[in-house]
Amino acid sequence: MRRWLGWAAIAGMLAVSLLISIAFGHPASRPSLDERTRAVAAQLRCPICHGESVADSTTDIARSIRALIRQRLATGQSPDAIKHYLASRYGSSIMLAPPASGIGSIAWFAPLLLHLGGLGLLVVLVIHWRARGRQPATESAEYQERIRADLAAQAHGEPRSSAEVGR
Amino acid sequence: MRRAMWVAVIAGPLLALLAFGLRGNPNAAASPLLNKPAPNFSLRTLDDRTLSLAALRGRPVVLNFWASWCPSCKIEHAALRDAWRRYRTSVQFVGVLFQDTRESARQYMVQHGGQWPSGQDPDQRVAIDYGVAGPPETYFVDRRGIVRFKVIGPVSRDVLYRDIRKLVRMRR
Repeated sequence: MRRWLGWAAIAGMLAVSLLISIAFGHPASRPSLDERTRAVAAQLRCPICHGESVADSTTDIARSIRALIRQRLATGQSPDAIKHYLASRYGSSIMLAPPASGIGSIAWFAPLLLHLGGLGLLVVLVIHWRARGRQPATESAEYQERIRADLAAQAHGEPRSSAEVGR
Repeated sequence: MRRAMWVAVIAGPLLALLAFGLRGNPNAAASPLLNKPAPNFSLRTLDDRTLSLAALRGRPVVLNFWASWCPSCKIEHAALRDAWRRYRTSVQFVGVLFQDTRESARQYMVQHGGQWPSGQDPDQRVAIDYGVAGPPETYFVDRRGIVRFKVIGPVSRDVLYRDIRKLVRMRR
């Protein structure tokens, strides 16, 4: 009964917060043309800069590319179509992020593969360590026989063997 | 022995990568446009005429992006002028201004010589269409309108003559 009340309270709170957000919240506004231009330009490498995006560069060519992006977005062209056009002119190196196909895919998948490999290695090592920890300490039959002989000798008042003294 | 093997395993691929990056002539640039149709354009020339690439079909074209303020353009100008004098009957030379004023460009041509047409590209749309990062860049377009070679930076007389001869020899 108590558990049921708890769930009902959570559901009630969620419903109230949903109603409040519908009643008073603002719908997500569509980004302006300038914002969309900047978003596309930020994904492109300035052709004559070192690691600077078209969005951040103050060079003439970056300014011209920004103007072209803005004009094409205004005419309804999609960001992907614009990026594809620029890559067809400047090469795929104009994209700041490496492509997800071909040799560029290594940059996308290598971190994931390395993480999975590391995780796998860790699991194997933990299993190995745990298995080793559970194993009883095994002594050779000869050593056990020697201990038995020493204990028996001690019981009869004889001195301990040199092996036992050394331990 | 084992250490030497590890050094070879690590250093080998790195050296191969370095050799790959250093191969070839850095000025003879790769371009996605190579062996593809040259983007068409229609520009206003310095003497107020209309210059269209499509209208030049059937003739090889040396397309040079330049500006009067660009020091590297001054370096290559003598080679361009000499090549124009030598090959102007068989090849069309075309200049495209990169962020330059009409008046400065006109003065520059008078001062340095050469009478090939240059067109204004006010918003760099033609430059972007060709993947130009900055002047000078030179494209060699064959008589079928296909981009065959591209040179980034000042083009030398040897490269100009060699690539023009290749263009002229290409089949119709």
